Amino acid sequence: MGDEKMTELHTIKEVPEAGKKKDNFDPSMMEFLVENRLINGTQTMLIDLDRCTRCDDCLQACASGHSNNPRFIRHGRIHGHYMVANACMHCEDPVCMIGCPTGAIHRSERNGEVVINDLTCIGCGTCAISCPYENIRMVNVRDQSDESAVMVDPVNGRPIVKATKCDLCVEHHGGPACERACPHDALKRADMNDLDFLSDWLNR
Amino acid sequence: MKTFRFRLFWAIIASLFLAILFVVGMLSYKIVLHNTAFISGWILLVMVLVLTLFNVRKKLTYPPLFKSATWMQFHIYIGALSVLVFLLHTEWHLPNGVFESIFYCLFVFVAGSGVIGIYLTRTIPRQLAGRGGEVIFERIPMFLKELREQAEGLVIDSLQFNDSTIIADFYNTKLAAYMSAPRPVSLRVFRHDRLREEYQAELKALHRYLSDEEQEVAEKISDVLALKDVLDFHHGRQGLLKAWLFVHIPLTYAVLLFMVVHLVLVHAFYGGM
Amino acid sequence: MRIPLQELGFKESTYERPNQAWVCGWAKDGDPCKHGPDGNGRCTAHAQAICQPRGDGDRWLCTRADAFGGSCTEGPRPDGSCSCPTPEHLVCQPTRSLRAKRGLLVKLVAAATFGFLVLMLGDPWRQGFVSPGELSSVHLAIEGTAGEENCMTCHSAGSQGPAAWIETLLTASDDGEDHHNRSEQCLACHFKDGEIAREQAMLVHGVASGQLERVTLIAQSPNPDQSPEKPSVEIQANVDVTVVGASVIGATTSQLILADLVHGPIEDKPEIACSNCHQEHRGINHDLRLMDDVACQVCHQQSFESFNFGHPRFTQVPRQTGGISFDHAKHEERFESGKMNCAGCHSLDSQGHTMEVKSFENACEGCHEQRSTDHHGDVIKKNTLLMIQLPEIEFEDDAYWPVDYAYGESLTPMMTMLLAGDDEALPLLEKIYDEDGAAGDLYEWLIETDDNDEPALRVELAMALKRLIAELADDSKDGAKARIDRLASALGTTVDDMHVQHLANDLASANFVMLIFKQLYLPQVDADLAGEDVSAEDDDQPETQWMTSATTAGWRVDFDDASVSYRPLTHGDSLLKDWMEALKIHSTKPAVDVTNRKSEIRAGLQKHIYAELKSDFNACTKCHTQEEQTINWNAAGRASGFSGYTKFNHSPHIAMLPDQDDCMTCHVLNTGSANDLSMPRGFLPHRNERCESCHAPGKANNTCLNCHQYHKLRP
Repeated sequence: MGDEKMTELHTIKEVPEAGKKKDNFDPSMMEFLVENRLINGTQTMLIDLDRCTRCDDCLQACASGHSNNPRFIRHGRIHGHYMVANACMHCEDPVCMIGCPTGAIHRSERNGEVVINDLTCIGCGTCAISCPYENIRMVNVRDQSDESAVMVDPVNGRPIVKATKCDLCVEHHGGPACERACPHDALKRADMNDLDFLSDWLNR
Repeated sequence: MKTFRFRLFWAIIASLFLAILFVVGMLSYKIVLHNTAFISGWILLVMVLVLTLFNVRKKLTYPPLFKSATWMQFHIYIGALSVLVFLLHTEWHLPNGVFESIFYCLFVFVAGSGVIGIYLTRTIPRQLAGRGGEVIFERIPMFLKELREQAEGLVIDSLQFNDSTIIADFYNTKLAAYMSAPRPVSLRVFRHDRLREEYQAELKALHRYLSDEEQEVAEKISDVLALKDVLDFHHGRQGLLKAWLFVHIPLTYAVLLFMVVHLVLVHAFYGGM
Repeated sequence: MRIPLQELGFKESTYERPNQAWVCGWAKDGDPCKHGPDGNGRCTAHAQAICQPRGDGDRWLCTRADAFGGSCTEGPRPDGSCSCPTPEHLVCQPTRSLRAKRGLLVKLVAAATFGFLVLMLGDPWRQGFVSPGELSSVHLAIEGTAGEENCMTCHSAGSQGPAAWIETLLTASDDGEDHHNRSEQCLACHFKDGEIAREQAMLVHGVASGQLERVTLIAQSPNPDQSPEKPSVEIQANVDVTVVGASVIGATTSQLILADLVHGPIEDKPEIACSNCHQEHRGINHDLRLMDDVACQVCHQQSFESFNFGHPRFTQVPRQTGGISFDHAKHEERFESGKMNCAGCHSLDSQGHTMEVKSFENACEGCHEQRSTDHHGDVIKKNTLLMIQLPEIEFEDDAYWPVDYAYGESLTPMMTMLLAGDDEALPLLEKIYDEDGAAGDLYEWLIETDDNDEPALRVELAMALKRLIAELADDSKDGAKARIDRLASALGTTVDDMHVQHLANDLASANFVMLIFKQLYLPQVDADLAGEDVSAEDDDQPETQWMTSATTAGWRVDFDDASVSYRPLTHGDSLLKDWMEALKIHSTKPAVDVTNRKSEIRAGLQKHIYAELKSDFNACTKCHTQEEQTINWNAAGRASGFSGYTKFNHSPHIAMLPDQDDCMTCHVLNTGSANDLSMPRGFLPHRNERCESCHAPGKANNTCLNCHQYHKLRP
């Protein structure tokens, strides 16, 4: 009986209903996801490298929605021809939220996205260090002028640093801009818990 | 979720349907001696404007007007249909006059570069993913520098053994130039540049002159060469993915300007009903 | 294989801004500064690599950015100035990112194109630049069009600049008045009398639609000229173009089914501009006349696949009617050899296109000799027309009338006609020809006058006749003028009318004879007309008996019955010809001024005269067929065919005959016993197969335009 339970936990879930497509992405992908603890993510950014033309439209869209400051980088762990980009996955269990001294990083009231409040972030870097996936970046904030000069703390003359990460475009309509901007259907924000959807997407 | 094949199938069906509809329509009007060039011309104008709007949509993240991928699909199929409309508009003739010939060529280049672009965007990513070594294009010079420093470090390492300069000489005469820059443009069109294999083979051939430690260093240099090759590959292929748009987009604006002038000319010089 | 170079950590992998327009100049060497240029493309190394020393009480603290190394070890100088080493080696020349470069290229190309267009649309180059291609060789010869020098020969826009063109685009419409202007330029040269009528040039086939309907109906009826009643189609006098019937589009082939889907210009706008079919600017060797077969079939009711599949049978070809009525089949029997000698009567015209009939003298006279010889000959035909004869009238009182020599029982047609020209005689004639009364019978009328006790009318009639005789005998200018006036009134037309002039000439040739007549029977008529009191008993008896030969041709006095008669001189006798024509036209004129009672009467009289003379005229109309308002004096060539839309070139076909004279290869006689009236020429219709044997796919040209023409240009 115990073995059965173990088997349940460690094997790939079989889809029980007749007529529904069996999830059929190869076991090594599952292995990759589990090994890198990516199954934590509810909005993992997957990029299909077979279709991505490296045009950076996703970054442009993200930037245009965030005052020219993109919230992710187009690199990350790769398995086969899929990349899990360094964009906040909005984990089920966000480690980054532990330890924030000001509470700037929080869950938004809208749908539970993990969001950093720019105004209260003091740039200590605790969240960036905590994030096991390196999805949070410490950035010298620039102003909105033409020069886009680095903003400087008048008190100690040092540049102001803030933690930035993907916020799923909570301030805008339409959902994450990156996904909408990819012209080749290469980018997807996937919920790792929804394996049916994932396998469908991987097998398009 | 709809697979790509599903989407492709129905998009082709829809395009074929529109194409047949258009051809039938044009033929009917031609038989009854209507001037079909005006009808097809206006349709072409609208199509070109819609195609151009794709660039505008790419720059506009908000408001959310359909996914960019949807626009892309429309762009591809309307682009293909526009070639058909263009051929019917020009009645399958090559133009005779200066203005029209230039205009024709511009359109051909834009459409042609579009077709080439489709081919590139559907083949190169696969090649890149297959090759491995995913790098961001703008960072390639950085990585190149790192590899060069790595190689130079290894070469210097080799000098500490037996005071032999075999590897150093080899590096200076052959590898230094190779490591200093990405491979030239002319070779980017081809998939496989044999130079790296040559160098690796030559390094292998050098082994008989090298001590054991030097051989290890030579192996590491060989690995660096392999990495450099990956970088070159990415540089070439990703560069091509960016370069074709340098033809497609600027010429579109030339086409638009010519289109406006053509519109004015055709109405001013129209000779019939 | 993964490049271990790419670190993913936030400290190792710097923040990437792909949307920025400027990147550090050192990036291409692989060593970009961690800060990057500002938004205007200026390197920030200067500003950032040195610090703004911050004062904290007594101490000064270096505030150099971490990106450039963080606080320097030495710190600011005591006076508060920065001592960071000047970062010259860090200063770069920023370059544009790839995307920005592309944007720049776009602007460059757009500007270059704009400049190029503005330049080329400027004056010296405009025409050459804009011209869509060379003109065809036929138009290159027009002065001013060669070498794209002068577009405005045909295009009004050619003389204008881009500003005017834009105005045209914004204001003018495609239909309405404009299209006339555009085709007007073509018509400036392609407009000749008889070729393309200018006001009808834009209409279908260049004729009014009523005309086309008529042609269609005629073509559809099996015997257009033989049918007792012509199709009752009104020929529209005005140029109002209505739709060409419902005979617009029929479809048999797949292509024509498409045409069904669309309402073509024939229905919506019944006019077609020249350029609808004739496309210029297609190069020197382009043939402007070429048209696709399908285009013809859009409008024609009977549509078919091609000449070889479905083309209507040649029932009316060759033309069986009109022109000279000549039954070839019957005439073949008359030849001694038993075979027709086609070349004896037919010859090619100067261009070799049509076969013409030789003149009467060359072709027909050999057998149909019409020439009258002198009074010795026997070949003179016996046709004699009674022209003048004084009718037998009894008067109550004495009137100057040759009672012994007035034998006429009725008014001859010539007399009636000439009397009708006399205004004063008109009421008499009306009464004589009153349908309810005498109905043309002079005898009846005389009785009527008796019954009605109207002796004066008889006197009036006699006076009218005497006036007539006097005028006819008058060989002075006054007489000629009087005759012309009389004829003009009689025919209801003006003195300038051609027929009036001709008839007057013919009557003038009767002067001498009329003088004799007058001298013989009414010698005192002038005095009588002047009002003097004369009596017939004072006249001398006519003595001379000469000129009584029954074989005399032309005008003569017949002493036996005191008449003037006329025998035609030769074939093509001018009096008869002119008289027939005049009567034909003026008796069948539809338009009658009904407000004028006189012209109404005259018109009625003409009809009577014509009816009377019809059988006499049979001598001519036996061979010369008649149309509604004309008589065909000449043989009907294809040029006078009922449509003019078909052309046929004889010479190349004759050249291919095995025996040059073998016209029977195509023109087959109908020698069957049942030679019905539908074949008055005696030929069977051409067989389509004869033509199709050569005009078929892969052989000779079988397109519509090979045999048909849209504009009636040549036979």
